[in-house]
Amino acid sequence: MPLNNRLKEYRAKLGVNQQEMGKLVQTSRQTISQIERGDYSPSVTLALKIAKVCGCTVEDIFEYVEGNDDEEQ
Amino acid sequence: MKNSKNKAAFICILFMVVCLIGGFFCGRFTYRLIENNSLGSLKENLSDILYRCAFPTFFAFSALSVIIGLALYFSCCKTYRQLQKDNENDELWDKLEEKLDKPMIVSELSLIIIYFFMISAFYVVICTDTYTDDNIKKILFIAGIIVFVVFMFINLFIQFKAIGIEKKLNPEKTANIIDLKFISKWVSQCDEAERLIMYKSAFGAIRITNLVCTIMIIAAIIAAFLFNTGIFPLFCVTVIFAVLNLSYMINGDKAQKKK
Repeated sequence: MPLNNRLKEYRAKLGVNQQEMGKLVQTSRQTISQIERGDYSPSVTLALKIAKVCGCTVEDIFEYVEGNDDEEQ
Repeated sequence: MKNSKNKAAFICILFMVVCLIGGFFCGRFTYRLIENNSLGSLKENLSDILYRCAFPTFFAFSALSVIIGLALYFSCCKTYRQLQKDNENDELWDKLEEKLDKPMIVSELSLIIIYFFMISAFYVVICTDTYTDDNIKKILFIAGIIVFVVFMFINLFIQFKAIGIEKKLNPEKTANIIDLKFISKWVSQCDEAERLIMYKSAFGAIRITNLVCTIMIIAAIIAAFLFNTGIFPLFCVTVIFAVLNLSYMINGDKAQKKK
């Protein structure tokens, strides 16, 4: 996947579980789980919502790594 | 780049030539079989065996599919009870969500195949001479209806309950399964990741269905010539094939024009 993420870390700082995180960003628990596992890259809208809830920028949580796109192909 | 294009073109042409030659020889072989009536006794024996197996297969398949569906559902219930005790266990959540798909798939497939077996079994009773005793025909007919209704309700029960658990896990999903617009409401309540999974699944289903339709068209043509099934099966498969591809293209066009 093209994105590395630290969502689990920020979620732990907030002290919420995946279901509560999902409610805060208006998405399902399953999606939060998939993002944390790296199985799903969120849309821009969802990434911005997550960053806003965590009180940081999108770049703090998600990191684009060069070369991962080629591995995916 | 040019080499890979030439290679792809060569493989494509080779594939078409093999299909052409294979089709020619299959057609010739089929014609010889029809001319000599070589399949006459095979057709009768095969029909006899299939007709006699219709009811036992119907009953056995119904029972087996329901047993498997119920076992999978009860396994989900067990995991759900574990989750209620340990709500913070993310792995258990993921495990349960993966497990919930299985009873749904089994019960859905079971319903479709039970319909097929039921109609086949009734066809055998009503339209063939497999059973000559009228009393046996009546008993089989009534038993078939009872088995169908009972197992259909059990399969629907499994689906209701599995969706019930899904709704408890995801309270934002409020669509009612008995609503005729259940699917569209459920999809509208799904988030972006869930919709992406659905779209990928749908595309995968289209690819496989296209392949299966191609195979079924060939099978229908062979059956029409060898077993005198007529062109209705071929017509049905062609309609499904055409509608599948047309609806895919129309929906793709709509999706491009949206926004």
